[in-house]
Amino acid sequence: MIATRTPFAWGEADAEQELGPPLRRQVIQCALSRICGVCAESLGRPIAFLGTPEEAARNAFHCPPMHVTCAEDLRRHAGADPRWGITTTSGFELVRPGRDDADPDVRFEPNSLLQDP
Amino acid sequence: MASTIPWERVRRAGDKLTTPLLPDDYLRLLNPLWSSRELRGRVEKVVQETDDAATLVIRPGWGWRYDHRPGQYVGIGVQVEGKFQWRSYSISSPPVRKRRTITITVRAMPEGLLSAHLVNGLEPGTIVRLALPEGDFVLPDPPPQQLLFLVGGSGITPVIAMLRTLDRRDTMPDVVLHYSSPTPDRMIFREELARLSEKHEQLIFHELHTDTDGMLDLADLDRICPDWRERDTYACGPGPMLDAISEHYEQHDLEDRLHLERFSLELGGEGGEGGTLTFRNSGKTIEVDGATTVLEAGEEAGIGMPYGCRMGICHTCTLTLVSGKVRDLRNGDEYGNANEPVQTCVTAAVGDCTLDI
Amino acid sequence: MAIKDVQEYMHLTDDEVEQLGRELDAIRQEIEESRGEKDAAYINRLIRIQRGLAAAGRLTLMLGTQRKETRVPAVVAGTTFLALHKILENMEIGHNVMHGQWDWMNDPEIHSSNWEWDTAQPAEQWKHSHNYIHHQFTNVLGYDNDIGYGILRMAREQKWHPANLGQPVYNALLATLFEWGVALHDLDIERIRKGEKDPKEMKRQLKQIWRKGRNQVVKDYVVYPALAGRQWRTVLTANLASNVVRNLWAYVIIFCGHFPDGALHFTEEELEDETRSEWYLRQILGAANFKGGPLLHVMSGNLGFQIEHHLFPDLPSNRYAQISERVQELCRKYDIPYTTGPLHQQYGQALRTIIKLSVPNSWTSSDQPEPPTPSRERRRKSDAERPPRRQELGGWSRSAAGARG
Repeated sequence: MIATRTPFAWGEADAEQELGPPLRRQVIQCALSRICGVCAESLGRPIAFLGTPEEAARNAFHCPPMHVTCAEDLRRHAGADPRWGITTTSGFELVRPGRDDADPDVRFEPNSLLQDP
Repeated sequence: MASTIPWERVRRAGDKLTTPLLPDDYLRLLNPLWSSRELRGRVEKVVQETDDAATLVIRPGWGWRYDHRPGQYVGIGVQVEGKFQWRSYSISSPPVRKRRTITITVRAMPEGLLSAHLVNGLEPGTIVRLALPEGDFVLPDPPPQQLLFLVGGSGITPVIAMLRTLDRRDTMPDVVLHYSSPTPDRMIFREELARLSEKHEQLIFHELHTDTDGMLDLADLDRICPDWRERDTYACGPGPMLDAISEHYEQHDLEDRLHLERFSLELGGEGGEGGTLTFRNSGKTIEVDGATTVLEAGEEAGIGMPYGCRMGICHTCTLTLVSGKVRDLRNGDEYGNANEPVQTCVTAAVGDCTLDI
Repeated sequence: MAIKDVQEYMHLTDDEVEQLGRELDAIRQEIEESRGEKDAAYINRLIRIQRGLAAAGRLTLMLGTQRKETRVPAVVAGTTFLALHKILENMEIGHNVMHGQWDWMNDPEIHSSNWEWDTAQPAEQWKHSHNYIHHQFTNVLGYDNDIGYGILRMAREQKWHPANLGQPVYNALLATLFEWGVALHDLDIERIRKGEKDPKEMKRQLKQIWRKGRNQVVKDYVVYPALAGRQWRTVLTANLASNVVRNLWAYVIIFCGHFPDGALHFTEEELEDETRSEWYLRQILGAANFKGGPLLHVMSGNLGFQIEHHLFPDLPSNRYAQISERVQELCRKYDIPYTTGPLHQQYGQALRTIIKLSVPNSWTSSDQPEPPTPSRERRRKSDAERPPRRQELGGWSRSAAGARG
């Protein structure tokens, strides 16, 4: 199903190839319009972020917010990063990169992490 | 025939008046329990069970069905500093509709923000959010003819719900309950269990006070309960105890008889190598093995470690690793950069480490 | 003049812009860390008041109009309650909840993902047209549809057309029917006119608007009048009046946000490469505040702090007043204009622009202020003196494959 479709925020990615980083413009659109980075529909609750253990530890994610089910689908995508895990939250902060940041990409900081479903 | 018009349908018709909201969004302002949009409950009473455990009597609002199965747990959401925090607790009351309440019993964990808040900080009248009951740690109906409960600490909470239900329905089968707790004082429901066992001669109640008598040695099962192999066993308690029990049952090829309820997380992956953990601010140190999480080790050393979910999700426990290396027990990833933040609840030491706390 | 390079316009050096960004980051962090019980209590109390007003308004109109003696006061009071409820719901509650300002509370009942506000526009479309298009491309000509709502010519850079002569009339219509103007906003009239709109998407959006709008109309103009029995006409008129009051108020507040003199337009093409600090700077220059007491600010959804709202659209609105003092200090420090004034003055300026721009540019003069003159120590640098702009940052879309390894 989703594995053959290009997720919204990866508009240019080839379905069979590694996904790579999402597109900045779409990432910002997802964040502000509060839509899912995979299906582009309104986000639900909780909000899911896909990220590597390092991203989770830093609480700074680069993939756009998603539905939990979309995040699970994307994790099974042929081009997904095998180290991705899912973090759920109620809210997040959008952080635009600053000139001097070590990290030049737009990122998300969940502000209300969830323990229970 | 007003009674044939379901109340739900009346409320749904009210949508036309309240769109885009629901009638419940207004009704809950009259009475906080009059909304089924989010399940709510009002804390009616807080009963102190032991020094650090309390039973909350909660009256659920609209939408609650009183059909939980004894042994199941319920999510409870409390607003702490403006944020809803959720935890799950076993329901300790039997499912009885006419009582209109449910009870959960909570033990305050040291530094456990929410459990401490629930035990000490909840005034009767507080409105909490509820999630529907869940969990497979339940007795089949009708109950098995022979039962063994192996319980440690607050693991008694789902079991008391089962025993209370068996008592109420008067279907108490042949039951052996083995309950470990550090001291008699810390044993939740001790008097009630004694009373139940007096009332039902087929209910045998073993107490083990581990501070004086040591932990349960499973080799003793043959003595405590000679026919344990013939019994359906329900075990609930701290992780290491459950690990030992499930290993014991596997050795005897009896996994099918064993039902477990784990409150804490399941760690896979290989452990670290262990080493000496140093807590910089207090100067305390502790020797740890590679399977003990940094959080557990810190608690053992008497450090006021921050923690939340204890399963690597919430990052409440994150501390700065000043030097050394730790391994994430979930996936084997290692973190060893200077001043790297690490999640103490899912990492173990790989060699000597220093933490900034 | 629309501005091509904000930084150049402001005579700020790269480092000054970054320093400003860091100071704004610090404010943000402070607010994030101090969000708590009081803020949660604020939004919950406001929701209680707003729903109380709604119930009071409906009941007053339904019951109070039944008897002749109470009819007039009931209509006056009921209409007022209803209008206040709609204004509070749309501005201080709905708009801000949909920005995600309250998501941190982890309360599913007050969350950006499922909030539907009490107006004709579906929340989903608002979150696109406002949260994204307007907040990301604030005042950028050709991107931000809020510049004139696709109906009015609001910047001198927009080409004049004889149809613009009707602007004063369109403006009055837009103000009265504002709810419906907003409802159609995300359809993007401009793109439909140019035939660029995907018909499938348009059909989906229209269906959404139709469903939401129908519910709103049925509630205000069918169900509640019907419940009033013989007084249906009175209730219908009162409901209509309360909607118009809300429309006019929302229109005035929103036009004060970006159209007073001093709120600048941009033609920046390299939006994608903007650093966080440059983005901040554009937000300050593109927005305009107005002054007033706490009640005025609550009734306008704290959009009198439009500058602060644009800097931090997802921080709780009840904190904007406090943030505003710090932002004003920063603006003084960096010689950045901070546009503000009394409500009537700000709206007056917006209205003047609407009228002036209904005729060709050559007939009128611009009211936009001159760029701030560089102070002596901050005089404009020559290219040789200026450190090169770092181009390699943020070029995500151009190097999608290699940016992150």
